[in-house]
Amino acid sequence: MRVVLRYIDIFNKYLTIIMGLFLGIMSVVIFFQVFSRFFLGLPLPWSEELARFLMIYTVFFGAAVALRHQKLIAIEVIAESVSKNTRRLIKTVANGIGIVFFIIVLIKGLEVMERVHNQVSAAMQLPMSVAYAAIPIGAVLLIINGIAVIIELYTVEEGEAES
Amino acid sequence: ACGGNTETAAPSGSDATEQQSENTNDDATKPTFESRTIALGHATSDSENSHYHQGALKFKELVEEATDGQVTIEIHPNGVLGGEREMIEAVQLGTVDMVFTSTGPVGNFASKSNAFDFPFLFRDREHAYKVLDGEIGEEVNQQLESAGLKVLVWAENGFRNITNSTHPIKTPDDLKGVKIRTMENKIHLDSFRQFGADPTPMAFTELFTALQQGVVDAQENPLSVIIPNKFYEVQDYLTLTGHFYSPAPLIINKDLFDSFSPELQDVITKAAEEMRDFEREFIYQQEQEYLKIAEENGMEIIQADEYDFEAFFEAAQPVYEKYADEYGDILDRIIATE
Amino acid sequence: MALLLVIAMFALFFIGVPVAISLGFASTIAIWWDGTIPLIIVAQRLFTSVDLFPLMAIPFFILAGTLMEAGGISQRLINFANALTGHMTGGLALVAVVTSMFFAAVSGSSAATVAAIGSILIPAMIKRGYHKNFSGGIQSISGELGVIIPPSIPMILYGVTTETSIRDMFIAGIIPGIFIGISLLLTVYIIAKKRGYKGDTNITWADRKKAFKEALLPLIMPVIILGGIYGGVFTPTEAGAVAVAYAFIVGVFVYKEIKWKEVIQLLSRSVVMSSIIMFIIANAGLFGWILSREGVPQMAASFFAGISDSPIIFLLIINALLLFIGMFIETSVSIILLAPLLMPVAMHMGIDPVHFGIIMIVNLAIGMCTPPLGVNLFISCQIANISLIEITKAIIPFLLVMIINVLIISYVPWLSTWLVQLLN
Ligand code: NA
Ligand code: NA
Repeated sequence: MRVVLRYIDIFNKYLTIIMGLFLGIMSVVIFFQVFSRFFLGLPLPWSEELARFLMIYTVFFGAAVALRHQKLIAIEVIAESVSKNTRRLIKTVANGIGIVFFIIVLIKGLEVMERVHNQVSAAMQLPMSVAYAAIPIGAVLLIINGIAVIIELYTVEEGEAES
Repeated sequence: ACGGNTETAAPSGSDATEQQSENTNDDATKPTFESRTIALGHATSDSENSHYHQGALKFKELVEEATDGQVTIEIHPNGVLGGEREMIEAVQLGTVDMVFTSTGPVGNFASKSNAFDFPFLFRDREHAYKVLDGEIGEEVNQQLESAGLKVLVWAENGFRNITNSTHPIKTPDDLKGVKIRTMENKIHLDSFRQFGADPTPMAFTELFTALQQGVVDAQENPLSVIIPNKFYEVQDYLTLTGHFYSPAPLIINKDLFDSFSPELQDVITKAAEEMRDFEREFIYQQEQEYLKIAEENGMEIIQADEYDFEAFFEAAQPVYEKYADEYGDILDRIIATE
Repeated sequence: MALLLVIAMFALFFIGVPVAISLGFASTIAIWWDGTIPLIIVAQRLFTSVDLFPLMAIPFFILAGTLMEAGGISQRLINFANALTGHMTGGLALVAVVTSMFFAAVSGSSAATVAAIGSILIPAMIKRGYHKNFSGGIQSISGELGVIIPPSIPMILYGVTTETSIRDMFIAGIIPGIFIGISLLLTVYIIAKKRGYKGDTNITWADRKKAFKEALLPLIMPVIILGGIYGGVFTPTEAGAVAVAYAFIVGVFVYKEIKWKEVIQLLSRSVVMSSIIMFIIANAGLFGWILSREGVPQMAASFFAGISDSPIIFLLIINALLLFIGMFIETSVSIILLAPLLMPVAMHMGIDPVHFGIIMIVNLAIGMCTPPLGVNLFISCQIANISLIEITKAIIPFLLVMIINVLIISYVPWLSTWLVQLLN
């Protein structure tokens, strides 16, 4: 099981680099949009949309990575005041609920993709399914990382986990 | 607040085909309607001078009256259910039943409706009504229907006009180097490039501050958008160019409409048509009021006969040439419509 | 359905399901239970809630903050601030408030204000011996000024949805913004005195001169951002990308404190941090959609409006309502839903629409700092590496001060209207 965890973490490392690149591209594109409009007098019609779509991808990919490290903001009222085993059980349930939600998001995300495929984006005239793909792909990543958290709960001692 | 599950509504009561007979006894022949709620969204304010909201209210009143309150129209104004693109998509997906929208995003769902976006295409209102309510409008409706969107009627936003902050716009030369915000629509962008401006697509929500701070100098919209959004606070000059005509389709989810009983379909269609006529008249009546507000707030108004229409019209022609392959035929037919 | 939605949300919060997932899953359950809206809305709404260009200010300003920190800009600004007020009690926390006021005049959003300043000052405060919770708390609350001092996205929304003059709203926000800023400075001073957050008394004039010289480039930064926005070069959202570019150039080429191979790591760290907040916004968008589809805000508004016809009692009720709603719903969403419903009631009671707008904005701004859904808290928690409960404990005194502020602003209309009348 720990091997699975290690593969997931290696995968996440590359995923994080890709997201970092996305943010880099967003910054460059929007800076260039300002530069081009103000100094060259050439407003770019596509820059805002490209940056926006990249941002949407980063939201769901980033959430998956944050989930793995249990960094998604939660209100942990009971988990702090119970025994180690109860805490593990509660955390398993909480993560299980998350996984159920992501499975619904995955199924419905694929459905939206199919339904909006003939719609094109306003500026780049891309099929909207390209942008919407962020939802099902993000859901898969969230499911994988939700499973990783549960595996970790049962294979790695508390406190031993790497942040 | 949502109604019960809505399977195909079988007409109950008397035979539908006989209801037209001249019978003084209403109760025996009047169709009854299954109780249901229809959610209708639009993205403008729910004020008294919002043509979308007044139109939506009219539609609601007509439908509820004709169905004895069995069918309720639930209006969601102010874009609380999302922006226009999102709501059209929601109608397509069936998560919102109806939307009353501008054509801005419609072309991305069905490309034919872009044909209405060409500069100086419609000579006047009557010309637009003829085209939209006739054969050509029907043709565009067909394409939208294949995307799951049924256009009940084409109501309107009105003709779009240019406002600017620094100087009056009377000729295409006056637009040279002017940063003007346009919708993210390729034909609109090309048109303003041909006029000599620097068209800048930008989200509507950012437009007011962008005008205020001078990120863009100018913008173009119908009076029904310019005035309620108070652009006169940040823009000094208004030219009544009427360069694009902006229709406003009332759209319903096609599967939902098909599931209605013929009686209800009839009620909905008739109410929509009556609403369309009401809304067009409303905008026409409001126009003088809007211009008065603009003037009172210190805008200099350049009337339709005070700007160089010929020069603008001439400058627009390359846009027609560029899209001749794609839209040439339908454009010719629109122009030929008397 | 609305009741089920709220109960499910609290149940999920309680067992420790992350806020974002709780909002999303509670909405999913409610839709499924109701049965009239297709579940596909879940996927559509998650997408469209973050498909908004103005939200890009969040990742940009988080990245700018990270670059400023890694590139040495942050340190030089802190040295400078320290040279100015470092000798005073609670010096650095005072700087957090003052810098937020300054930054608020650049930014239309509170989240961006907290991200931009907090990512520099929170670590600096912690380093200087301030408690983590206090550092995160003071930054969250100062960040509210981002929407109270103009420009302000919620004010634009209020102006548009109620047909009130946006310019008047902007002008009306200035005095309440400064007033709140001063009250926060006093609160910081009192708490700092009690806790013994001492100033650094060893600062000499030579230190000050050196700190000022070194901070020249960082101090030009707000001038460029501010000048760029008011000079019409870029929008407040685009300002985020300009801030990134400036911090990058200074950090990599001028100070040379960022190595090229570090860049991707800084980008990655920032993008995960911003996605944590954006993921909540995505799910909150779904949640809010269900509420408005169900007409919950309208019901609440008509209920509260019908209780009394005294303006004094009405304002008290409105304040309570808005504070409560602000706990669960994001500010812009609340404005869009409630302003058009409440403003006519307020006008009927003889309350000035601009004044009422300011009351709404300040109330809902407080909501950014109240759990369970408080964007400012989330950002500060991320930066200070503390939990929501920890920051909530630290923020309570500040929230009390804010509630006093909101009551003063409610019952002293000229704070909002005087400048408007003077300038019109
Ligand atoms: Na501000
Ligand atoms: Na809150």
